[in-house]
Amino acid sequence: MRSNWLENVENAITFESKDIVIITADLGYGVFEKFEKNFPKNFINCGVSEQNMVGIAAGLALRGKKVFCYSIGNFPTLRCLEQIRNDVCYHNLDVCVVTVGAGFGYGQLGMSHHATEDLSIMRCIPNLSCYMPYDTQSTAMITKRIISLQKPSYLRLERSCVDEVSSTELQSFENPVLLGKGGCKTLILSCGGITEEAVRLQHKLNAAGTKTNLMIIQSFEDCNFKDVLTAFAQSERIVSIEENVVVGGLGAWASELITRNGINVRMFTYGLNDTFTSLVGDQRYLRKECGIDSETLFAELMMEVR
Amino acid sequence: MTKTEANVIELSKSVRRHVVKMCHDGKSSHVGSCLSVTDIVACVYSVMNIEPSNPYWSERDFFILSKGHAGAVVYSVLAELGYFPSERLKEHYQNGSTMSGHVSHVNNPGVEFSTGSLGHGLSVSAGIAHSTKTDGLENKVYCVLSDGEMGEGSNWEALLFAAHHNLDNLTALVDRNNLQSIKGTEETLALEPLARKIGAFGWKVLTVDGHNHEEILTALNTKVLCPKMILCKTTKGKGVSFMEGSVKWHYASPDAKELATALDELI
Repeated sequence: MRSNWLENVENAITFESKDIVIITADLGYGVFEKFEKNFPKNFINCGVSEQNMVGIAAGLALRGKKVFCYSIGNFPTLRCLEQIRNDVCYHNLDVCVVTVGAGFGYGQLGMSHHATEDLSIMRCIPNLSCYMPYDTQSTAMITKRIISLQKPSYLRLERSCVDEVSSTELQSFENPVLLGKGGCKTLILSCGGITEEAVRLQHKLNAAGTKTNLMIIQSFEDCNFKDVLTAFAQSERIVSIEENVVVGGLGAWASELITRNGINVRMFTYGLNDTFTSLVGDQRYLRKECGIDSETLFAELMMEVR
Repeated sequence: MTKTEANVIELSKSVRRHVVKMCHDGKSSHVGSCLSVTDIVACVYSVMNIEPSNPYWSERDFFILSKGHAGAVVYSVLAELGYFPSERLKEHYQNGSTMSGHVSHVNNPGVEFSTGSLGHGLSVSAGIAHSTKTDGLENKVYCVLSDGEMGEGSNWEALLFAAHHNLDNLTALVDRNNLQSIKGTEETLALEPLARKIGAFGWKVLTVDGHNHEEILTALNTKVLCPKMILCKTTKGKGVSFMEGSVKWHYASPDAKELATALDELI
């Protein structure tokens, strides 16, 4: 996802003459060398200083630049949240905060590197659109979308490769993305890289006779809510899956929509519990330990649907 | 005395009178902080390249008030310079207005950036300075901070950045009144030797009497080849005898009697 994002930024500078600056807080070894060489005026390494990074970004954006602030895990979000809120979002500046390593992407490095509450926190900030690509095509579409808009945004990238959800080439940014023929009683809702688990879950449920649609949410804010509500209203049960705490993330977003619109549907919210994870493991291992892998979810849901 | 110095004297006086009235009318905090920084802000605006009739003039210099709680000073200076009618100062702190206690850019022409949480302004200033320098432009950037604010780590990140990128178009000024929210700065989180510390970060540091316009203007006009820090030794509450040197006036607003006494002293 990261290389896909960067490629689209390079294209925007080269072919669309966009005045874009990437600032990194000293991360991205092996990632930015070519970019820095080709576009020296478009790259700043501000060192390990995330609060300063976002403040600098605000200053650059005040001067008309489009800025991507880059780091990993929680560093470009929680560490400098007030700068994002006060300096970028309140001033409606064209700054995109990019993180690599959504969820347990850096699982073995320990809890300091687990980006597992950011969806909840970033969603709460006014005037900030959160984007959660689910594969490389989605990353390309979202990056182009962000470049075309001139407003604050948050881009949550996976660290590892994820399965491509579809072989069909996407032509433009669409949100939500619906996989399935519609009209099924069960609707799975997912966002970000864990969509690969959601796809497996959908296949398992379909094979077991429980016809299931999958709706992928690419952004909480930049969204066709009419399509979302239509799909919700057509379902008897909604199963949301996220690699984020269940408090305040995707499941909460969906629940708020359901409650606000008086939709009669049963909601199952799967994500991480309100606890830290001290276990070491890669992303797949930790997803299983936390019960958000497709096998665990399938076993639980089959007990519900029988 | 130069014309600029004469103008600054008048401007500072007018601003102090506005500020005590605004803090009384709004029952707002921070009058002491405003009075200590008045001369500094007045001097900076007197050297800035600005066009009050065109707040977004592309060739303008930039001013960022990082010690946002002295917003009343900036509003008053802007009003006196003609960015908006002085009558609007009555909106300060009032229900339904956008003239908040901490400086706000919303509907207040001339205010570049809203601040309020300490430790933000210098980074933003550095970002503007980096951009204009990279683009080969002549705009200068001025940022005023409080001394208590220097406890914020983000300021030191910005100091490192500005020096590393040799932002010689950036001037920061610290309102060094030696008081902060509860006690003095040296009792709370000692800053001294502040000049040497900032100098060690690669800035050129000048120390002046923050109420001596000639000294401030000379420092502002001193050409250097790196980012410049002017440490301005000030007195909190300067200009109103019963407010000087007191933490109380970080919080209290003058009542009617205190306002009258203050205005008598500020003739």
